Amino acid sequence: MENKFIWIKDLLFEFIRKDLKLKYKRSILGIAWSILNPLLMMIVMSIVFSYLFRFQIKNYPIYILSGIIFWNFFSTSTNLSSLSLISNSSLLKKVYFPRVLLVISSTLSQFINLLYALIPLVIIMFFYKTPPKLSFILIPIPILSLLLFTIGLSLILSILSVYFTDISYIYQIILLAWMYLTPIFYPPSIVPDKYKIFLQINPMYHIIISLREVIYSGEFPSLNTLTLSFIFSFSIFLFGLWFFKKNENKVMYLL
Amino acid sequence: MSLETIINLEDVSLKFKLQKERTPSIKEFTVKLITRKVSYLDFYALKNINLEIKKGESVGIIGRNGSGKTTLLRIIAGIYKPTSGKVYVKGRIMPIIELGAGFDMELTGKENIFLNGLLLGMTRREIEKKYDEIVEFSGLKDFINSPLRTYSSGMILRLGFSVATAINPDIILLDEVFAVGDEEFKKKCIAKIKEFKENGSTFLFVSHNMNAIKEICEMAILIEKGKIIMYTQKEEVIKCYLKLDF
Repeated sequence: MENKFIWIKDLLFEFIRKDLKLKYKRSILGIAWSILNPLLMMIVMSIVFSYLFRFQIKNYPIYILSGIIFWNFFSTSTNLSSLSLISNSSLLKKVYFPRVLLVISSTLSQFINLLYALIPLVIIMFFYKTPPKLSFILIPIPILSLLLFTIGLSLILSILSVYFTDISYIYQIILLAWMYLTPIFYPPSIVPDKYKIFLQINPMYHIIISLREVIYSGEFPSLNTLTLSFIFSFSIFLFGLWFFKKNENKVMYLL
Repeated sequence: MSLETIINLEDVSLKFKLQKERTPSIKEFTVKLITRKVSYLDFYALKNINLEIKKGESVGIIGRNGSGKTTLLRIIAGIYKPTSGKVYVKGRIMPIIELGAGFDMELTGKENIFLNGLLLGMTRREIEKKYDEIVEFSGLKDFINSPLRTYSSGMILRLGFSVATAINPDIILLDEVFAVGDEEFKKKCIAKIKEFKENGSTFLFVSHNMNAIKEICEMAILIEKGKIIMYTQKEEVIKCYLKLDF
């Protein structure tokens, strides 16, 4: 039994290692892309949004960066993980291993990329002379909420997309709309009161807001928001696990 | 030889629900679900399988294409769960349904040994211990740090076989691994299998190659349309199989 636990852990690490190795295998800059990519994206977005839309936001590049890196993690991992059963169908038919590892490892390797992306964020903050404040130490809490929510949703999507191939196409569109419904480029204050409800029911809104508070504003988020957001994410995570376990054997015949 | 039961299948059935039409889009599916027009066709990949295999036995599985041979191996390996019935398997299984499960062309030979070994159920430490032996047996020492895409298909096969046979499992599931590979490779395989047999491993061996079955197995199973129609001495089963009209 103990041996089995070690095996599962080893296999999970191996999947993550493989993902990370393959990601930049043939590129010259390699892992540096994980740091460069958000930086370049920030530059493009800051130019577009501050000149075109003229939002009155102090240190706009930091504002953007503290939203976009987390959103990118969320969208890339849910997108990739949702296909992880389909794209590994031949492997799944050859050997038995806990299939949940495919989804979790794919999310975790994206998560490691996210941690790399925090490096340029902190550098930029020093560059703009607004170094991280004490509130920054709370960052693990909203990040954990984000991770749990992402894994939970990925587990659900990975099963659904085997039942219905169309799910992955629809999800692309949902993601696009979802991104604009989450205040990543714009301040939440520009949303008219009557539409505020759409922000309130959006779990990503609460996560992003908490992250912004600890990184960008240097405020301590309200304990309520943090706890509620964590409980919600944890429930989605548990539901995802349950849903996956319940369906994984049925889905095998469809692969 | 002990007569301990190592694999036992009790009334195992595996039912697929085949939709009469192709996988629908969600829209079509919802429309049909509401109008109750989703019709399924029940298809038994395996039906009422009872099978008891004792420790140290070597059993060949023969039957036509699509008769359920590979599905039976997958059930024993735990890849498929049966719709009904009980599967009891004791000991460590080495499923060689295809050599080199999970091999990635971009990774090096060394990296693939670890990935493949882990997928076959070994821990990292076990692979580290056996690593030199695996490389030695594969004869690929000079290429082990090159990406797999630079290997020939024969080299990839050798690497896969070396990993799969690195540890001594209780049960070995083999699915047509000899269909590929040259004569020398086949000889090497059969020698290794005989070595395992002497060490007391149990074999389940799917093949269309009657000579290989004759050489390795004592008993054989004949499967037809998901049912075991015969399970006895290999000569009799092979005779019966050859008489089935095609």
